[in-house]
Amino acid sequence: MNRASANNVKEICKERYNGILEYHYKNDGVIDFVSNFGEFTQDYVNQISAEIEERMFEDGEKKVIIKRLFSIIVEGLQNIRLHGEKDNDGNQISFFIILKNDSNYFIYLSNLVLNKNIEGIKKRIEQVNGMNKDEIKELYLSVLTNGVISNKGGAGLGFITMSMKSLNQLEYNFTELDDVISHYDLKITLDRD
Amino acid sequence: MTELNINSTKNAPEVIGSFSSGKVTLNISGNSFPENAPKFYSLLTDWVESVSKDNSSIELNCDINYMASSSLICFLGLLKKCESVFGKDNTVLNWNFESDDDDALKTGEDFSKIVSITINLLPY
Repeated sequence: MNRASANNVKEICKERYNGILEYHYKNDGVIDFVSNFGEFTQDYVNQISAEIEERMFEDGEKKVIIKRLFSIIVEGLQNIRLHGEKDNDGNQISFFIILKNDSNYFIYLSNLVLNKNIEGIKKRIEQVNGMNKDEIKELYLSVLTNGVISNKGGAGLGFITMSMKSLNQLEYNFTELDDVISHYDLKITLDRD
Repeated sequence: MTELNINSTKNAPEVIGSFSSGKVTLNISGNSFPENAPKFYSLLTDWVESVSKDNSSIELNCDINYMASSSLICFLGLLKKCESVFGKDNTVLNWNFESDDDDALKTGEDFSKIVSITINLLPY
């Protein structure tokens, strides 16, 4: 079976990371709000989410937007930690990017996934993308009512919550790295008004 | 049977549980996004279960800034536990939230679609 080396995996993911930043700098007049490439510990998630919240307050961002972005980031980073696969060297390669311009925040969350799980992920994203606001709310309530937490600690509400908070379509990208794993990133756009 | 005291952390709320004359009070305030939400909330549900033997009603006072989805499920589990051991007529949730926080208001309203306890939505 063809497996990519850990170095190779890191290189391709880093390329994608830089590509996203370049694209938005060129096209959206964004400023880099906060971004990081690497492995995220629980302590890091706690710390960075608090820092992001504080910085948005200092920037005078609307409270409702602060809470929504905070929510997306916490759900997203916990998803990465819970579900992110590891490369051959046991590294949970991942990144997140938050960019902002006058009208939007662009949030990217990335991790490695098993190729065999790609279809399932796509299906769940497409499911919420294909729904209107009321349908998403209904799905949200039904998941909440049946409330089960998986053995990985997920509530099955990640995509639904992110979609409800962003009010925009979720966008995704998969890049196959070898026969077993791919790089996956999710883009969430949050309007600032 | 003892009181419950959990200090807040960066990702978990402060919890103070007490009881007097048959009435239990459980105060929860702060952020709630511990990675292992079931483990955190089991401390609360276990405590509720233990104090239900000698008390007949419970009042939950909550002021939660941010709640992750896994915490939300577990928090609902806590409400369901209160409902089942004290009964819906003896369980009150006071849901405090900032008056301009529509999302927090909606979360409070969602609870009333799932459990039948008394829920007071209290903007401040």
